[in-house]
Amino acid sequence: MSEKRKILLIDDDSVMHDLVRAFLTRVGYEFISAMSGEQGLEMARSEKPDLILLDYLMPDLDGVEVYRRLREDPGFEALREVPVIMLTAREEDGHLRSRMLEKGVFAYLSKPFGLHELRNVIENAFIASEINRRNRQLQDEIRRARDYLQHVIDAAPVGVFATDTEGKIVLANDFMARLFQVDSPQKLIGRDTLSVGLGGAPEPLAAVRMVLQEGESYATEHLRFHSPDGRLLYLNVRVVPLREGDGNLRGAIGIVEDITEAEKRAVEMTMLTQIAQAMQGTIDIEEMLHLILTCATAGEALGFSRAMIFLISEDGRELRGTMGVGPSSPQEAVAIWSSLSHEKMSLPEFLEKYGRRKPDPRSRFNNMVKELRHPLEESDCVLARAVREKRTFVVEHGRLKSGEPAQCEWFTEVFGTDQFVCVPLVAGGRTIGLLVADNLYTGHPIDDSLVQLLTLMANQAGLAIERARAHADLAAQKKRLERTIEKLWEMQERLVEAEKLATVGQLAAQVAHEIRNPLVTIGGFARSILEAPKSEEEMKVIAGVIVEEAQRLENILNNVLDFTRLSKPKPERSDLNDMVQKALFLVQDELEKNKIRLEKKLAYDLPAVYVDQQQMRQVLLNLLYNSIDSMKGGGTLRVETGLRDEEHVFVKIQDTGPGMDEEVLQNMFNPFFTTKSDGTGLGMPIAKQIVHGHGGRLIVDSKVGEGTTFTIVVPIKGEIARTAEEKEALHET
Amino acid sequence: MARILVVEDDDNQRLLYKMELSREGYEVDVAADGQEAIDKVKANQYDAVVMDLKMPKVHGLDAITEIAAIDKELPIIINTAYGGWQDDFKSWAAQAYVLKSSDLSELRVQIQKAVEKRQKAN
Repeated sequence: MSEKRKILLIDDDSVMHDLVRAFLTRVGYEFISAMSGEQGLEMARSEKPDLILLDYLMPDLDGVEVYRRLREDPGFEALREVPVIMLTAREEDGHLRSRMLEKGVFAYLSKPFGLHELRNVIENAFIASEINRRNRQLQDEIRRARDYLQHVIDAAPVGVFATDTEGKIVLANDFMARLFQVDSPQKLIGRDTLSVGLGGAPEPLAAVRMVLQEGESYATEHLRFHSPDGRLLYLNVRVVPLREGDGNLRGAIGIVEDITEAEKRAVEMTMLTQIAQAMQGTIDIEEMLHLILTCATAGEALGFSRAMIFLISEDGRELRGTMGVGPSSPQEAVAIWSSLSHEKMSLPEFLEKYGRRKPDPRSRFNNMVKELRHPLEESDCVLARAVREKRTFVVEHGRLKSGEPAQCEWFTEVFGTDQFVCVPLVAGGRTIGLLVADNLYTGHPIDDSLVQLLTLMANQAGLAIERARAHADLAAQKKRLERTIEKLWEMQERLVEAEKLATVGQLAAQVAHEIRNPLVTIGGFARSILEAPKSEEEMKVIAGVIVEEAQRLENILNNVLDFTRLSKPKPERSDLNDMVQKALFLVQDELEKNKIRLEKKLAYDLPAVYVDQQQMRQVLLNLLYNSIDSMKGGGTLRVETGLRDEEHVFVKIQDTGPGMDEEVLQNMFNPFFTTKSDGTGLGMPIAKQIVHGHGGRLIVDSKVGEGTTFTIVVPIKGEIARTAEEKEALHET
Repeated sequence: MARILVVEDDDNQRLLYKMELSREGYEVDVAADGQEAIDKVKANQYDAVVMDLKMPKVHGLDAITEIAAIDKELPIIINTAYGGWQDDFKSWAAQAYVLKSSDLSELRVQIQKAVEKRQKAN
């Protein structure tokens, strides 16, 4: 130490002054002295000595009083730690000595004392003083560190606590105090972790017991905790054992996390999902509305007292009360809640049981809602505003959050509340109605998170209602369509009947006319024979004519029979190519005789068709003969088969004959229309009827001077069967 | 001797009319279709025409119109198996409308009348 230590002697004995000064300055101390207590105190204040030697017996102020002032009076704060050595000339007074030592006097020296003894005591005092100083410094540091730690723990956004081996809390932070709602963390110290939660089961810190028993860390997640003020909190608690250096269990430390907000959001999301799923389960509009209102009032969901839906009339001018769900009176509310609380059901179970049905027709509340009408135009009522502005409004004491009056006195009069929330139901950018809910019976405030949730649900509800409506429209349209189709079928059947009759009538008339010609001829010659004798030559001619005409009559008769008898085709699996080949074989002679060249182009991969082979052969032959007849002077006959589309095959028969003019084209399918002197005029009508009977088409394309093409189009699957199947299927749906 | 033209597409009936009407004492000319009839009226003088209606190439009614344009006074007797043509105004140019029958007496009467009328006019 560079500076000399300063020692103050307070003593009324001047001999003592000289003696001690001489000695202490010699051994390297700076020495100052005072002759009285007052003077000593003065000097101590001004000189700030490092050590004070204080005489016990002095006039005016004795040593005990001086010491007291040094230690207690203001003005001596800087000297509080300065060691004081009491000097006394008195006989050994054990009592005083121990009293003073207790008060902090470092040593007690009885006069006379040796100077070396004094020096030893002084040096010891300095050493002790240094030790004390360091000790205090350490303690300060320890205190600061502890304060810092406590501050850190208190500021932590999670609850932090520690327990002893008994599970009693020895440390807790502010978060814990707030969680258990006590004034300060100190109030938790000493509390048992098994009862700190006020017995609200389950105890949030019960994990401590597990940790203390098992010696292993333990975590509980999503713990439901009812805080003392009744709020439901969700906590994550993690506890680990606290061990000493030797491995012995000293207690437990734990962290408590409040995950209520996140949990709430997760629960809300789950709930909305469940609600959305429930809504997707129904398409009946009334069931849908009831489901929406059940969600709004279900305790597990939004838990409103009552909820109602207003829909906007088709002309957009009026709000119409459509459905209400909720108790009609406080008594009913209590009854419903108590019965529901017995059935512990998840939301989906609840909605399944109570949501998916139509409202109870006896519900007074529902009936009350259904009678309500409110004009939308020129109304400043909050309900009309919610529709117009597509906004959610919360009404409290008849006022909006903005302070504007809600202007809903009519509503308050009917429902007895001026606290409610109204949420627009929007679908496709258009407001289709309103969802209104209140807490009349519980009196719970309508808080923002609830409103937000209701709005989210209303968004889904709007779409769901729209979907249900669309489905109802669709169902009505389907019904109309079904009736129309039904009528069409009837009409078609009647038409077919009428057409059949007309065809038969037409046929009868045609037959009548057609047989007239041969009859005229036969009868004419017969009369001629009767009226005048004929030569043998003449008779031969006449007989030949009669035979020929009789043959003609027979032909007509056969064709007529074919035509009228055309039974329903008996389809069998057939290879159209094969049928074409066989038909061509039959006309081979005719082709050669008339010098007609044949070009075949048959599709090798033609799918099998279901046709009446006999009938179809007749059609093919008829068309082939027609073509051959049109090319008496020679030409080219092209026959082609192939796929027309995915469902039809075709046979094309093309000639290079003179072609047909407009008149012939128009009449060619009329019975008895013929351009041949020996034709019956029934070939084409019969061919057409057969093809149509197979659900196919017979297409004619002809140009005068170029030739004619007949195309038979046949469905791959038997059309008759399919028509029947389709008709049946339509009746079933 | 009166000269008549029988227009008939049916070969056997043409034969019948030719045989029967010749036996009546008429000079009988025949045509197998409308066009042939028109050509023959242009080329020859007839006292009456017996006209079938349903025929290839030129229909009887069109042939009647053509023939009337050539010789307005030439009497035409429609001889057809179909009663329906009476509603067609083109048929009104004909003097008589006979439904075909194996009994030719009606046709004979109408030819007689037509020939008389024609000869009186000449």
